[in-house]
This record gives sequence, structure tokens and C-alpha cells, in this order.
Amino acid sequence: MNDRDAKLDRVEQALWQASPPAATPPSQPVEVWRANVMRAVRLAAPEQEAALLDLSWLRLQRAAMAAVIVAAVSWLATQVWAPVRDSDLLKAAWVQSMAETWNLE
Amino acid sequence: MQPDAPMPSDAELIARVRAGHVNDYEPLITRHREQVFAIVARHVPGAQVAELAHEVFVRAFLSLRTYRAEKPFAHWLSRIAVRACCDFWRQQARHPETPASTLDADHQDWLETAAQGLAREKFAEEIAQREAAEVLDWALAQVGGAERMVLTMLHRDGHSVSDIAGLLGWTQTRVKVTAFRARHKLRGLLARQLKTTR
Repeated sequence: MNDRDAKLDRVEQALWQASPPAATPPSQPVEVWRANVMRAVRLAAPEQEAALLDLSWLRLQRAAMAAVIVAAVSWLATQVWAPVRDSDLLKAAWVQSMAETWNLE
Repeated sequence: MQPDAPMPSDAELIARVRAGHVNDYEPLITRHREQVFAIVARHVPGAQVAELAHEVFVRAFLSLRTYRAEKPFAHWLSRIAVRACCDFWRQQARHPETPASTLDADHQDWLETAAQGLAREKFAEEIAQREAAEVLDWALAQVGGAERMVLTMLHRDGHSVSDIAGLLGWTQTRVKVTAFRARHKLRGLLARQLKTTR
């Protein structure tokens, strides 16, 4: 480590040992400060309610969308699967497979 | 409320506020005011503390719907407070309300003394401590924004990287990279300042 780095290390170390800024006394009594916060909160309350409503509406929309997707996919699956299930080809294949399994001629 | 009734917990109060009983937010403010003031006072100038603490509670109220009870409310509030301080310094960096302070002869003297490592007895003095704090304030003002917050939390407040990541909502890697860059910047500033004292 060169001399410059050593000096900087010492300065840095001394700087971080410096006490944090002293707490300044509050400019207004706590009660006044809290009342001001509550006033701001009450003013913001409709915004909060609107946000909650938005959130509920969003959740409802998502649930409805999920239900529609599930219904669409199951309908589509039925449409694709039903002809295959009912076809003679499948029945024949099933019979063939059973016959092979049980060694039936 | 009955005089003998136990104080409702944070979770109960939050549930009531969420149900529309805004006045139940006041006990939460009373309960956590000191903690928020302590965090804010460590990071922003004294004159701004009350205003920023006010903002923290309003922000917390507006985000109350996102609060999940997995972690204590106090912890969640600390995160909002730290982020509010971070935003404060970001805003200051963008639109400085007061010009950056400059170092006078006493500060230069402090720097030179600290660099020589001669400071031990002198630092015990209140004046030297104040000068050190002012030099630190000057240096951090040059570093600015989120980098300033990361440096102070890491080196002055003694938080771990994972703590800082949790408080700022960052990844640990981002905290490490930001701290490295900020420290590099700080050392560059101090080196330049030391050169001018010669």
C-alpha cells in the first residue's frame, strides 16, 4: 500500500467515526405533527379506498379471465378428443391391444 | 375502548384501517413514530426530519394494501423510511435546494491531520468531531443519491450488505457494486482535497 492510499484509509476511518448528525429538537410539538399526519392521511383515504376497489376489481377480472380460459381449453379438448374416442379406429386399436396383452387369438 | 382492554396489535389496527377506519391509523403512528424519526434523523438534515417522517407515514398508509403480515409492521415501515431517505437524496441531487457546502481552512486542517494519523487526542474534542461530521457531510453531498445512503448504512451505521439489500429492496450484488463505486468516488474526492491542502 502506498503512502497516498494509507493516508486516504486514515481519513476514511476518521470520517466514519465522526458522530452522526446531532438530533435537532422537533420544530413543532408531537401532537401537532401527528395531527398533521392524520389530516394528510384522511385526505388521502379516498385514494386508498379507490386503490382497494381497483385491486378487488382487478382480482375479479383475473378470476373471470382464468375461468374463461379453463372453460375454453376444456371445450377445445372435448372437441378434439370426442371424435377420436368414438372412432372405430380407437376401438379396434383397444381390442387389438387387449388381445395382445392376454395373448388372445 | 375499555380502559382495561389490551392495546390492539399492529395487525388488528391495520385490519381496521384497511376496513375503512382511518382513525385507527393514529395509534400506529404513535407506536412507531420514534423508530421512524430515528431512521430519518440519521440520514437527512435535522430541518427535514419531521417533514420526511410525515411523508413516510402517509406513504405507508397509501401502501397499506400491499403489507403482508409475514414480517413485523415495524420492519416494513423501516423499509419505507429508508427508501424515503433515498428518494430525498435523489431529489436533492436532481434539484439541489441549497448549494453544496465548501470546505474552509478548519476542515482542510482536519483532513490533513487525519491523513497524518495524528488526530487521536484532538478527535476527542467536540470541535474536531463537528469538523469531521461536516467534512463527511460535504463528501457525501458530492457522492449523492442512493450511493450516499448505501455508504452511510454500510460504514457508519454498521448494517450488513444483506440488511441494506432488504431495506432498499435491492439485490446484494447491486448493494456491493453501488458501495464499491461510491467508495471509489469518495476516495477520489478526498484525494483531490488532500492535494489542494498542500
